[in-house]
Amino acid sequence: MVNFKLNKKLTNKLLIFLVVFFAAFLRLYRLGSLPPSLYWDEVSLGYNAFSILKTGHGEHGEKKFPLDRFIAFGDYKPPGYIYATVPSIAIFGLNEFSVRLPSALAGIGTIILTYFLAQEFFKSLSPQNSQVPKILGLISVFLLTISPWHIHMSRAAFEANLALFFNTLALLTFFKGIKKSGWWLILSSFSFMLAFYTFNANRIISLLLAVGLGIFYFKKIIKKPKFTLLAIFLALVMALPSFRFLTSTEGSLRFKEVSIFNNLEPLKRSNQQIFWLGNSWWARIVFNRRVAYSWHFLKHMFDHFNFDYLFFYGDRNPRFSTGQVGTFYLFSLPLLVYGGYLFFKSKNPHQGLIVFWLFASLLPSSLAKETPHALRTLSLIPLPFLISGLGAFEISKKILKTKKTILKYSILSVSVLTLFFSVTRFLHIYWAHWPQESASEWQYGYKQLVSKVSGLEKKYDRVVITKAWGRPYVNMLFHLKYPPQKYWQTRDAFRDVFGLWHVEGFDKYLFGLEKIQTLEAGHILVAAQPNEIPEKCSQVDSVKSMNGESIMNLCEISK
Amino acid sequence: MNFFKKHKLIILILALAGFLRVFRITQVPPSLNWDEASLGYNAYSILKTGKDEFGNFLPINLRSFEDYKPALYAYISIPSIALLDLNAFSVRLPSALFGTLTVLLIYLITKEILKPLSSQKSLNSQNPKTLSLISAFLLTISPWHLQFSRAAFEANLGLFWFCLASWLLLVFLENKNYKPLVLSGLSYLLAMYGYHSLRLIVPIFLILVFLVFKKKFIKNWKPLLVSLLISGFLSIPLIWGFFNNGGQARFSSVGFISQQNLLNKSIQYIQADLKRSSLLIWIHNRRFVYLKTFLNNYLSHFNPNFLFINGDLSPRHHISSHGMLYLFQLPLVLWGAFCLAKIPKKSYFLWLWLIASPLASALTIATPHAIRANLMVIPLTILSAIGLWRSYIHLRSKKILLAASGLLLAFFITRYLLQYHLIYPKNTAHDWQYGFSKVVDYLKNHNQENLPVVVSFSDHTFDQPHIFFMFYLKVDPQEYQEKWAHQPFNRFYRSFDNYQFREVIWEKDQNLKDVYIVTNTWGMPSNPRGLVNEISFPNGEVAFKIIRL
Repeated sequence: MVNFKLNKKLTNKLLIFLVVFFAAFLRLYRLGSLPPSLYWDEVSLGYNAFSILKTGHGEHGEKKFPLDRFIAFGDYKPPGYIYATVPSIAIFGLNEFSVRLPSALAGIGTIILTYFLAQEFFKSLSPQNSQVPKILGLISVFLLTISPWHIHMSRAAFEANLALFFNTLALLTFFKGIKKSGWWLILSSFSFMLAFYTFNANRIISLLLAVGLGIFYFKKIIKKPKFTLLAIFLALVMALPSFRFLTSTEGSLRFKEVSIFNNLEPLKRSNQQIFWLGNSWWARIVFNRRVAYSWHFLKHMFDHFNFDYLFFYGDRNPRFSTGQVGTFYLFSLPLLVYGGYLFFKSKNPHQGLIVFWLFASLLPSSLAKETPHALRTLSLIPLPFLISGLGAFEISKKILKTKKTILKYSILSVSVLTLFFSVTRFLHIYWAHWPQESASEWQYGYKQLVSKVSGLEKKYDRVVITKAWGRPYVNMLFHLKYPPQKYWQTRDAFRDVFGLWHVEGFDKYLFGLEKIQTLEAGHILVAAQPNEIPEKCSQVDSVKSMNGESIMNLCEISK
Repeated sequence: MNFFKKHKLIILILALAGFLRVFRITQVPPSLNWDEASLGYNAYSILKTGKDEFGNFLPINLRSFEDYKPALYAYISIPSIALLDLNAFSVRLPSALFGTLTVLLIYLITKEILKPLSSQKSLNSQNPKTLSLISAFLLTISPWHLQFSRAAFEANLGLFWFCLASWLLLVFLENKNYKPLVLSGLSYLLAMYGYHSLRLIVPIFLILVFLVFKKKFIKNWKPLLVSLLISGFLSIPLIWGFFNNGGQARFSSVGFISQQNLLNKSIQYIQADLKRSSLLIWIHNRRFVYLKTFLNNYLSHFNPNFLFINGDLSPRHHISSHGMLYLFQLPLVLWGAFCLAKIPKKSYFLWLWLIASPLASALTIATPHAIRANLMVIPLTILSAIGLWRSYIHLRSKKILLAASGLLLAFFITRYLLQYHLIYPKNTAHDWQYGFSKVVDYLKNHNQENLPVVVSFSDHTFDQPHIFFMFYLKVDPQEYQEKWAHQPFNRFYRSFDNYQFREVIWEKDQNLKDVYIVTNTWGMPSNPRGLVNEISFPNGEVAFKIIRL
């Protein structure tokens, strides 16, 4: 299909190199300042990794090298991302770039893995021509490279994105394993467990996918019983350290907090209906609350197939998308429909797995309240790109075959223009408008605040910082690169009934403006939002937003 | 006798369809809503005087609440009102009747579309007659179609004419005669007279059909020309009506382009880009915003939650927590679409139908919209029929699985019908403006001395109360047109005879004397002075307080 006179292999390598290079540019360029700043989860991951690097303990000075979880804010973060960040902090120091680097690299890695995954999935498409799966892989990977969803997810320290990499690696190595050496199966099992330890949703997804692979490819793995058993054994051993945590109340706390089954509406409705029908036995069957809750669950699952979310506005949470561009570009809709049609029409041996993979990745998200959710469903990412890659491949084949030259070139130019317009529009909004719009969601200003405070603090006895932006302590620790041991000695922290940690102060810093009253005498530096500046506080300096407005004032009080 | 024997299954299905559409039609939905009351009263007015409530002679559109309803439904309900008098049953009966006939039409359409396909290898086990029967059955029990066949919705009438026209067109494509084509043209025209959305959808749909089947049309250009001439001539009043009384008014009130906030974001972006003189400012052009909004609205009609889980926003369009279709139709539609996609050409008719159906709705606000896009129900039902038949073929040999699936289907259908008849009237009475007939009854019996009656017009749900009084009192149209039709139109203050319709402000109005006040509970003390009766919703909440001062 291509007229290159060059060696085909070389061309392929060159093209894949170019795509990966482009992907790396889109994911690494201005990594530290786009998204505009680190939000609290990123900061917390970074400081915990810093603390591991310096002391071997987490931020709370708990047991050495924890494997099951990090306490962090009391939200019990999985350890994967934190350990992955340790080397990058060791090399680049504690800053935005080093915290986000693992995610960006995982994003680039996922792209390379997807290329090889495409070879596996589409090998059956044309067994005689090995070029076809390669071209298909290239198209899929190119679509993934420019994907608004994947670009954004690779640019912030999202655990889900690292878990996605491990998950994809696990799938790819599984396919290698059933065809080639059984050692790949061991690697697959290992990768599934890494995903398991990296993001909460993947604790469910890894398990489901591993079981699913076992069922769908039972005939293949049964031929390698030793490796299969070894892989299962390895997974079980690796799961051991987290067993106690997962069965404890802390482990289920997070799930209970977000679960859709906390919503009492379906129950109320079901009871009302049964009551209106005189509590009869048949009403109890027909309007059973289990039916109502299944309905509720399906609603949340189908939210992910909402066109508004998929193609027009994306996730409405400004941390997960720009809110102006869909999770996918609109032009991928016909590619997905046509590709899906072709995929199910062909006798592809992986049909069952593809469907299973999709629903397994949607399941954890569908059990939670906020749907559709771009982060929790991230593990399905290679899938739509494989499918739309197939669609794009077949459509372009048809176009290039047409003998009507005018038609051919007009369709081609319209397609290229659409592609160009879509990508430009996304990048323009993402680079030029979205940072200002979403700055407060990313707690923009903490870094500037900390650098101003550290310049001024020598003159003051105490520094009081408002809690209005949320979790100021971890930002102070992070941006001051405060030594963890010193923090443990001086911190004033407690755990509330929900298990969340609150830090009221450390060193000379106090958090919450109400602390000003408790201080007796001395010279106090106060950081407060413009609408909450305490009385008799004379302005010293201020932190400006990207638009130049004052968002945080520094002032001093003498008592 | 032979005829009955030969067609006994479809006759049975039609009997079931008729039964499901007429059974308890006055109780479920729980009462006439304002649009139904308005259609009924205008039909009554045209029957008695030849003019609508405002005195317009044989109107194309009814001015009604300044929303210019297509008048066809009113004309069609004249016979039933003449025979059965003005009441909920006579107003709803035409919808039920035409809904039942639509079931017959989907049978004929499916047969016509699938006829040439039965020879195809991929469908060798798909007998077009069986598939047509399944389609007819699925439409008979379809929540989307039942809902709108059991109340006076113009859209349901429009759907009937559209189906009739499309069937005739398919017959023409098969046998190329004059008659079906001319009749088809006339039916499409009636569809356009029948419902707003169809005035946009029909022309676009026909152009698409022409493009796809152009060889057949061009070969038979004579009947095409005749048909076009006749329909063109008869559409003059429609076009005239669009430009002269309110066709556009309707569009600008529901069209998304007149929405205030639509462009806010792009304006904000343009201002930011102007400041830094960005070269990419054209990206925020409002035309792209319009296009994006249109496409988003359009595609929202294919959201699985709309179709299978929750339906649209209005409780008048479906029972609570239920999609426009049954949940079990989701896999069936997908599978049916997959099977049909393998078959070219004649199946295009069905795809074009599906594609054209949400076009008008996509231009409006509050999408997805089950009424404005109700044409979708036909192709989706046919697709699920194909899916159902294919699943049956696959499961035929697995008896246990077959029985389980059958039970599951039966469960969904039973659940729907029970909820529709027993729960729906209880929890949506408010949305159907329940209670006015009881208020009127009470006043008829108690207000012997014809004291003035003030009826509250307060929040949006008690909009347009006057029409219910005109309807249930059967106010003489002749007299009404002479005395009251020419007062300036004011939604917030209307009156006729001894009735006033306006906002009730209890602090002031409690000082009135010798007057009846009818209000809802909003802003009222629970036991106001002079309370003589309360009308309750079926769920026990108070709908109206009747006060005599």
